[in-house]
Amino acid sequence: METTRTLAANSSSTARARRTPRLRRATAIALWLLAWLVPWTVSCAAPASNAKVLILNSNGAVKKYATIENAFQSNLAIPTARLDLAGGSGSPDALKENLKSSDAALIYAIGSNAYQLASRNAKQPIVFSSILNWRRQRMGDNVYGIANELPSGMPLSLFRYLFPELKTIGVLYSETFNKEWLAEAVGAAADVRIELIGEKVAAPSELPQALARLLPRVDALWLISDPVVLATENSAIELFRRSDAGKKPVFAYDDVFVDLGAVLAITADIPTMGIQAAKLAEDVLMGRETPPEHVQNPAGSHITLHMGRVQRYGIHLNRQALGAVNRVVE
Amino acid sequence: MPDATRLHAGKPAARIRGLLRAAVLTLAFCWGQAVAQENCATQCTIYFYNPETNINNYVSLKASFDTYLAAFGKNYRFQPFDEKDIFESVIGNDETSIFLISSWHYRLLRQKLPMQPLLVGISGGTFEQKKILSASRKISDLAQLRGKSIAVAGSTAYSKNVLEQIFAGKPPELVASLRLILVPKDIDALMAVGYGMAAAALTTEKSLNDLHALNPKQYDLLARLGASRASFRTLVVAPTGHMRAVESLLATVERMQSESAGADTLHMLGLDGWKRLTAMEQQVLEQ
Repeated sequence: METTRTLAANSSSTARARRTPRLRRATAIALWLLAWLVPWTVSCAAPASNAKVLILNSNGAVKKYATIENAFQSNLAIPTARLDLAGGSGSPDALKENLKSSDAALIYAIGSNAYQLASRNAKQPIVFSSILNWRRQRMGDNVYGIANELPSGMPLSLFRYLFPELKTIGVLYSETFNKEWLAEAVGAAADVRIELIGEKVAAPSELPQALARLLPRVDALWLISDPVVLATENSAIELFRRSDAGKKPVFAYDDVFVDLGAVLAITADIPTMGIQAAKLAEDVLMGRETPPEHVQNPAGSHITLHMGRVQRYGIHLNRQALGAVNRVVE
Repeated sequence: MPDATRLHAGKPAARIRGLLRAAVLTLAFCWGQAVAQENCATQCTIYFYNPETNINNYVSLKASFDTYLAAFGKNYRFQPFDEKDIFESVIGNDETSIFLISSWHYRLLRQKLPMQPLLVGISGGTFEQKKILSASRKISDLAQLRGKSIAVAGSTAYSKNVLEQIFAGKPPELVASLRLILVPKDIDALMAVGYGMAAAALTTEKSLNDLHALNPKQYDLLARLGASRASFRTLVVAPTGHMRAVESLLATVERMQSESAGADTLHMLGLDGWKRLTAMEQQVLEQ
């Protein structure tokens, strides 16, 4: 009304002296209304575009967690706050309260501890990464993530790329944890003309016999993440000792096994997972189309190759493929 | 002036001796410098920066290069960089060096630094390459990529430049809407499409051919949507008017493909060998 009256008064030159303070007041009110309305209008057009993301890191001192957090932040154009569960962010109760009262629009959980805390206490959507075997976690409708393991077809394609003469690869697995994975991997191996031979291990004590049955039948052994096969550190040491005695190269799923004797380790590339998590967080916040399965596979691989062992086992290496290797160990 | 008069008048022999001593010292210094430069007595460096790949295998690459170079000159060394700006700030101050750079980067750098391309990398018998944009078969047109993720193994600046070539004539906001996912290598980018992590991949033609041979099922999931202009592979470039010492380093690089350690190092760069650029090819690079 004030604005209308002012505009009406504007038509009368005789009211000029009275009009000026009214005009000023009306302008101030209009500006105030505009200041209040514009952000509301913008937020309706792009929901939560100015939202904050809370990064919940299980332990920022762990190098791979720090690397993925850096990659995430460098690729996200949204303000972030962070809490480090191992870095003096307060007692467990204080952390829970922090999460419950957080005004963040999305939580990015790095590692299992962070994810479990977030899934129990936060109402916001969650994006996770760096969780081993994410399928064993409780997943809500508002949970998205980047798996920690490459789809089996990726390492198998890279085995074929690096070692084109490989024909058979053996895998030790437990039915409890990896029955479905093996069925899928056998199909993926056939796509790259590799025969994948699985050998069941029902209990850790069966490892020596299972190895004795498998090794003579294969060109190489592929070590997968299986808590029955790798029950203890000694299980891993025994596995490498017997494989080496049989002159069979071992391909592993983690760089740590290169120190124990693996010829090759193929893992998911950590910075790439951070980039993917950032894109996924943006998609969720901006209401863009997200993948129906909610959890993406890692898009990048990291390859470590031990050249000395390639020569020791006499396996033919496609030297043209060296450009795909991230780390060569002599 | 009084001092000069006194010196001139009082001790002519001492002055001549002083001048002679200074001349001898200067000559000795200059000769030492010349010898040092000719033999790389201090250090001759190969500086490397490649925005076409994101593989970051620098530790292994340096170890491999340094091992190869050690057989030819104890003061040769290889220095890779992952930051374009730092690379450019370092090479501008070093004349006893050569650079391994992409032809895209050379075109940007030659406006800032006087330099001459001398060798070009070869792979599969060719020294040129095209970048191919391959998409999931569900996508049949560039316009359908609006807002989608593209897996790339090169730097963001380089990849955007290549995508602008491929999207030439399309609305600029279409290219701007593309979301790049940086992966370490071409083969990852291609498989990212097959496994649903990206809508398309920007890779070399050779990588596509490798995937065809490696995993025909994954290859069949891809459709070629476009290609960039052909560009030269990695170049070996020297500062204009480079020193003689650099010539011997260049010769050492040029013979890499004939030594097994050198050939493996080249393979880590995705190359099989080098060839001397002809005058005509050098002209092409100046355009």
